Amino acid sequence: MIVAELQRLRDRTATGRLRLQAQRSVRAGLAQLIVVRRPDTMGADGVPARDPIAGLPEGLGAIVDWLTATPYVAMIALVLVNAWIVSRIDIDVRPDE
Amino acid sequence: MTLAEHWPIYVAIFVYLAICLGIGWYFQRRASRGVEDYYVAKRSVPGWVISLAFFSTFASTNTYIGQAGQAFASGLSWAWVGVIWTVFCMVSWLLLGPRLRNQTAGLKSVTVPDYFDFRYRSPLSKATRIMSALTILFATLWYMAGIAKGCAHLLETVLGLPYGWGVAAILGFTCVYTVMGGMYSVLWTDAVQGVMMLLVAVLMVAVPFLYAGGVGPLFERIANVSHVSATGDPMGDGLVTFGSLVSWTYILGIGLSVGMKQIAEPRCLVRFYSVDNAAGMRFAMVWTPVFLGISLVCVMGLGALVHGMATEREAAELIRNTDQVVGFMLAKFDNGLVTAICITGLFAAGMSSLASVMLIVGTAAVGDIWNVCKPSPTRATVSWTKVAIVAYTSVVFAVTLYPPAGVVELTSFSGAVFAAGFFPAVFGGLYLRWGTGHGAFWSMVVGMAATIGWRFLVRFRVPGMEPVHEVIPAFCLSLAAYLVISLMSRRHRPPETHVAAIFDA
Repeated sequence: MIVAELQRLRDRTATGRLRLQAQRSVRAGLAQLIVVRRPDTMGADGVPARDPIAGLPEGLGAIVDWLTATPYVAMIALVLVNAWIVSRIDIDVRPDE
Repeated sequence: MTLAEHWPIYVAIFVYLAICLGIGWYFQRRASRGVEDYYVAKRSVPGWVISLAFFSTFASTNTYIGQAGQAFASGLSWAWVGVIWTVFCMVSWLLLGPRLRNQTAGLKSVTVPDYFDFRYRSPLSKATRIMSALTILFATLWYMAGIAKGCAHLLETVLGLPYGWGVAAILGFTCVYTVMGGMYSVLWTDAVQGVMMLLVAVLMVAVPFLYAGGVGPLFERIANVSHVSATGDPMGDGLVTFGSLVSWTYILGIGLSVGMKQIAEPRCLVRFYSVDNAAGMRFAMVWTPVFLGISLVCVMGLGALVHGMATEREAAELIRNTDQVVGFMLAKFDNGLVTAICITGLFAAGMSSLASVMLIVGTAAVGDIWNVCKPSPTRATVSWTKVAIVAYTSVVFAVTLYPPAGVVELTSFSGAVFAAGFFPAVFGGLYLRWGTGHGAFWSMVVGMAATIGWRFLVRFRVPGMEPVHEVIPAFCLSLAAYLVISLMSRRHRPPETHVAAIFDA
């Protein structure tokens, strides 16, 4: 039962992988460059075959894709913006009476 | 499961508990000097302590186990929930922090319910105070039971400690140091726990990389996994593609319902009361989102990385039990020291949240219900608050031993109740001079009714409404009720001299 189930999952996975290879989107490509170094982007020596920066397409859509693929970039931007805002405002704390 | 087998875990937990109890002992005398000491640590705690305390109070075992595991099913997209939480952390400190600190100091407010009373000074102020205190007592019960249950299961799984003993241990130790040192010990132990949680978050995210032998090998493994999602479809590149394994509406719903706790839950808001000065406030405003952001960056995407450690068979099991992902990761890594540090950190995550709410329920029961009905002298108030904390913890113990079905659901539900019920009254009180006690009272009623109504009558009954978390409609309705009713009840505004003292001082 378990073996049959695993075989079924393997078959579905193999089909899905073929489909995904054919339909790889710009977003997935960018995600690979930034988040995951897939084997097909690696040279034989393990160094990325493509330069991630050179691989970035131009345009707003690419930036959006890049940001959505990597929430970590947004997180860093967020805390930096927060620090900038705090540095720009006056903070007054009333002493306890 | 022997002592010899798990000695690093026992040693780590023993050292950690000794530090917590030592802090409680150290502050025992100072905390008992009066209500302002016991309830808000005399508004004299350094900003860095408050900052770490805010972070450790908000994040809990649920974050480190439940949310980390969720990324196993949802991929790195789940980290966006952490971004939303960090946004709310910023909003909380930027919009509420300094104002709430100043207004509560001027009003001599020491709890969130008494802030509603003193700020609005209306015929409904006392009713608002008691209703908000009762809400705290009701909603916190499920929250505490959920946290204690999670920690007890952790001890049961790792150390083989019987569930009941685990519940007694987590609640008992937390209760002892909370009762001893009041807000002083809650904040200082929270700070220690916050440091531990930061370190553990970094250590946890390092485990998959160490297991795989580095960044490249782990990412190669992830790229090559043939695992399937919970629906049986191949994950493919879903782990790294936004919105592939989880919908944006679901991310938004969880992000809002949990993140909004930071702008509405008393355990977070009361942190602002204790900041000592402007430099401390500025430090906390800058660094709290950083502390939270670092820990969430590490934790929220962790499950996706654990795919690099799991076989197909293991992944098929874990995808249906994502709460076990962190335990699986530690077991597979099989390093006694790392497991000891992580387990102690997870224990700390639970205790930091428990201690904060324990104190809140004590102050709500005695300061905002008992004292309103029958005012007591300062010393008696502190003593009765300690008794209330112990009594309430005993009730939580009983509930946790026989938890009702769906404690986790009730826990997230309680967050929505606070967000919808408390935020308009807090925000309006801080920013709107024309806000009235009637607006505050009815916004609470509408917020809580809408939360309950949406959850039980709409969300799971009307097709297509399930992804819309109750916090969204309830929050909007509650805010609208505050604004409209405040405008309609102008004659109940507090005297102008009172408002000027709050806003112009």
